[in-house]
Amino acid sequence: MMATQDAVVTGRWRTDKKSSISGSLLVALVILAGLVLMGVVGAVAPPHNPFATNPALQLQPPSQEYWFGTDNFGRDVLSRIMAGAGTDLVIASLVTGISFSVGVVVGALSAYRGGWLDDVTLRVVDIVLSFPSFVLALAITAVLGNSLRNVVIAIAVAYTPYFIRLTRAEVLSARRADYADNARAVGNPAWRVVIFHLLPNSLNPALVAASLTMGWSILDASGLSFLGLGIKPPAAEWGVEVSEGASNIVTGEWWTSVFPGLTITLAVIAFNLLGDSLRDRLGSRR
Amino acid sequence: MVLVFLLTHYLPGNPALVKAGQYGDPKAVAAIEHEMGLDKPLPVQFATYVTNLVHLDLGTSYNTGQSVVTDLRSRIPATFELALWSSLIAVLVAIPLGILTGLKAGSTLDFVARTFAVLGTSLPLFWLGLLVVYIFYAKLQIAPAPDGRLSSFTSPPTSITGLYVIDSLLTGNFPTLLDAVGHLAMPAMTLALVEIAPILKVVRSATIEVMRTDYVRTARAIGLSEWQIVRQDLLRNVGVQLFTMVGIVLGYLLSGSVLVERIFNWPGIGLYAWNAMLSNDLAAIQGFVLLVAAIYICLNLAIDVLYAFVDPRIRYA
Repeated sequence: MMATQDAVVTGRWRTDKKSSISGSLLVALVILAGLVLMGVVGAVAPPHNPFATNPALQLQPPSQEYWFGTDNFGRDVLSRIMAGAGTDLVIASLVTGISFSVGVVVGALSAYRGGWLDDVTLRVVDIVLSFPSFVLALAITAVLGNSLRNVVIAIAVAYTPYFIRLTRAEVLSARRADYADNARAVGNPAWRVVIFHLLPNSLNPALVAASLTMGWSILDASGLSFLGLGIKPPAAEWGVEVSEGASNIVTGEWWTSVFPGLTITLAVIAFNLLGDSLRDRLGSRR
Repeated sequence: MVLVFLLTHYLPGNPALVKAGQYGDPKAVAAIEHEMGLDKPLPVQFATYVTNLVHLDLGTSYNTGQSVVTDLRSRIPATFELALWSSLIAVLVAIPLGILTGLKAGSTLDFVARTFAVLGTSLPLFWLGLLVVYIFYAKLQIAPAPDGRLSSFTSPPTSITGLYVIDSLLTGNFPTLLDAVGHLAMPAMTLALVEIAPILKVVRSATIEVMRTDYVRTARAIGLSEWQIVRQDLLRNVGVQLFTMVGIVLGYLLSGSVLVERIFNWPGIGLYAWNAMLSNDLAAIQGFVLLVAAIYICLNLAIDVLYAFVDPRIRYA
């Protein structure tokens, strides 16, 4: 009898351990580490100058010297992708940082306070969510003009409502929990209850969303730049690089846009997988 | 609506200046500003804007010199045709594949399909479009040039629905039909590849969930074949789940229209908006954003309402 029970327990242990180091998480972390490394190398010691044009080296196919070939202006595609890693990862981090912190704070306050604050917040969230996020970001950058700052603002505006919604829903249900009542009963002021008691217990969905937002904002930022409405050339940004190589696709010089696009895909895959594993580990529903 | 108005009025460029030309003298600029009502205070401009909106007047585009409503109306069929065929392809691929992988969860096929789904949600649409052009136009040379809905020497079919494929079929115009299908193939495939991923994911997880329920176990116990179970229990329940996807896929389509239409030079509302955005064409941008929001809101509302009809368990208070 005891023996069988032990077997069951160890069996449980094993499955738990197995699921905690999932393959997709590993893939995600490896890709992300690679991208960050690329960004750092690109900033410190790129193989070639990402901005130096050289008419003699126009559209060279991939070779030992230029791994990913050269573009229309004879610039090294690999060095430009490395420099672009800096731009795109910074945009993604800024967008996610802004929408996460604003969304979590506003969401928590609006859930805890309720009343008119909650009403106004919900209306604003509804208005922003009535546009597909990329279309909204497009319209905002078209209005504000294209610069890194405006791209960040545009995408952050489009994603903040998701964080508000997620956090608001979590805090609403946590507000009635026993530990929140206890915290209030021993005399904590409202802000302490929200910040130290409710928020730490309500962050999981927002953390999952943050990881996914990193990926989406890279997609959006590069999409805007591809359309000529985001980061302006000759800046090194992945979407700009795909766009600069777009006309070469028809004539067969595929490497100028295939490699930057592949980098975007890898980055987004990594953040999507990271988000999925976070969701599994933190056990949140959405 | 207010957001759209404020947004476009903070555009840095002065439209009157654009109209008068780069070297127009200040007096002419002032005259045009007056004519367009741009010298009035913002609230007055807003009131005029709302009045016009109620009368379905979205103003005049500086690019085309035509009313924005006319412009948009003439371009909607192109966008709709693309959305229709790409969604059709996506649904026809994703539903059977999703059910199959759901039934055989854990198999190699399942792994391949799941990898594909992750890829589909991570691929930049604009890059995917370029890849499709490279493979099917530049390399294999089986698709026509990515330039619009028809070749320059083909005349459009007599307009019945505005959708070239259906119109040419209805009028029996087979050369045009072939040309239209050829031009549609690449952009529709691009959009479909992106739409497949979310649908596949939902169908797969819905299938797994349904196959675990008590009623499926009962059906098995009374000796129904797997095929009967799939047909009677699974399809109906998965269908309800699919409904929730329409909104998400629609968002993809509306956002994707700008990117895909730009790559394939497809003369729909996305390409129109892109041109407007590059040239500060205020009224046209407003028109596009309003139209997209209107479609998005109306369809999402319609889905919510229909949802209750499809699934009698759902009731709205």
